[in-house]
Amino acid sequence: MNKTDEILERLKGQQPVIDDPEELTERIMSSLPDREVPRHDRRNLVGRTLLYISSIAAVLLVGFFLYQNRPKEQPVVTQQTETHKTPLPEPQNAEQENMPKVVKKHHVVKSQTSNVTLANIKRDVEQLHVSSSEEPLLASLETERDDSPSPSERAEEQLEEEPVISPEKQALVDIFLAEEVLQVAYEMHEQTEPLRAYIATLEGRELETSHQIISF
Amino acid sequence: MNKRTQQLESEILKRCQRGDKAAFRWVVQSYQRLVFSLALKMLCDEEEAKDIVQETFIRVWQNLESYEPGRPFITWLYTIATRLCLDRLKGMKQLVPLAEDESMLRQFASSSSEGRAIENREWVAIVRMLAAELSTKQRLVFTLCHLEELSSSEVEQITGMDAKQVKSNLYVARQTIRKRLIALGYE
Repeated sequence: MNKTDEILERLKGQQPVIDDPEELTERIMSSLPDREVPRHDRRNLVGRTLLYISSIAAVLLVGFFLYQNRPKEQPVVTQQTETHKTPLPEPQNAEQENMPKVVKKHHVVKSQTSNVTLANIKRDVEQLHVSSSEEPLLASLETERDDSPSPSERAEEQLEEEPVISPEKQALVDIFLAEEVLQVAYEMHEQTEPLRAYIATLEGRELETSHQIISF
Repeated sequence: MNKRTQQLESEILKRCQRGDKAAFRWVVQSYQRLVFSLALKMLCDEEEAKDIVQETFIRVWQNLESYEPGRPFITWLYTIATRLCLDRLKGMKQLVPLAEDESMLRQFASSSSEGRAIENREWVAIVRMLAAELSTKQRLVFTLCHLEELSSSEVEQITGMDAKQVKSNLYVARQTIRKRLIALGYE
């Protein structure tokens, strides 16, 4: 290699040195003008922000809709009433076949007293009051105490199988129901004597005077 | 530049495009010597070269949104610096070698150590001695191809010349410099 080529080769790739690079850097940085964020970047930023907000709002709306339309729970008493419905006993003789509807309803009510609230009892009593029967109410109630087991006895049998309420409470419920019926009968101007006697048997005491019972 | 470094640089440049000055400081510190080297060899004046470096990075900062991420940043940087150097050369007087420039060249040529770093005043003297008879385009192509060791394709992108023009200018520049060195007594 001749001298010329040697000199040219030695010049290759060599870079001069800046005597004070930090000073030059600071000089450059201090002279930089303020840059605005490009418009398309700003648009993207705004667009992305709106997208995030709308996504969050959509999720909240769906959640709110689902919450509003969630399946509502049935009252416990109604559920228990439905599950503990007992079929009506089949009548054993012709007289019982002619048992009016009000008695049959009373059977149903009696058999379900173990699981109903007082409000339900009142409702059932109202049903008894509304539905008119061909035979007098008391006469039809009297048939309960014939040969066939009374509704209370059937309820007791049922309770023995699936005791849900204590006997004491059951008795109280029976008494309340009977008193309600008595009230209805009084309003219907029916004789109340047999019914009062029935109540007395439930309470385990002798029949009181009528005015004492009516006054309750 | 390996792939990892390229990815890092790409991420930094994205931040710069978003107005991150701290990220741009990294760019300045990484590339200011490279731009200074080109400017000094083109203009043969240290202060003018520093001005070109400052102006180059200001232009880069202002036009970052026009930078295409797929294009090498160094090529784009060289393009800006080259245009500024050519504009500055138009306003400068033609390079005339000084008396001390020849002695510095001889001192450089006679030194035996090849790894010795060339001082900035030596660079100025050598370039004034060797490039005095070159045209602006020939000086530019010789500086980019030979002194900065850029590839022919990069020089085409930076200068806007086609391959034939680059090759032609480079050949003429080398021939002219060789004749100059021979005239100075270097065979």
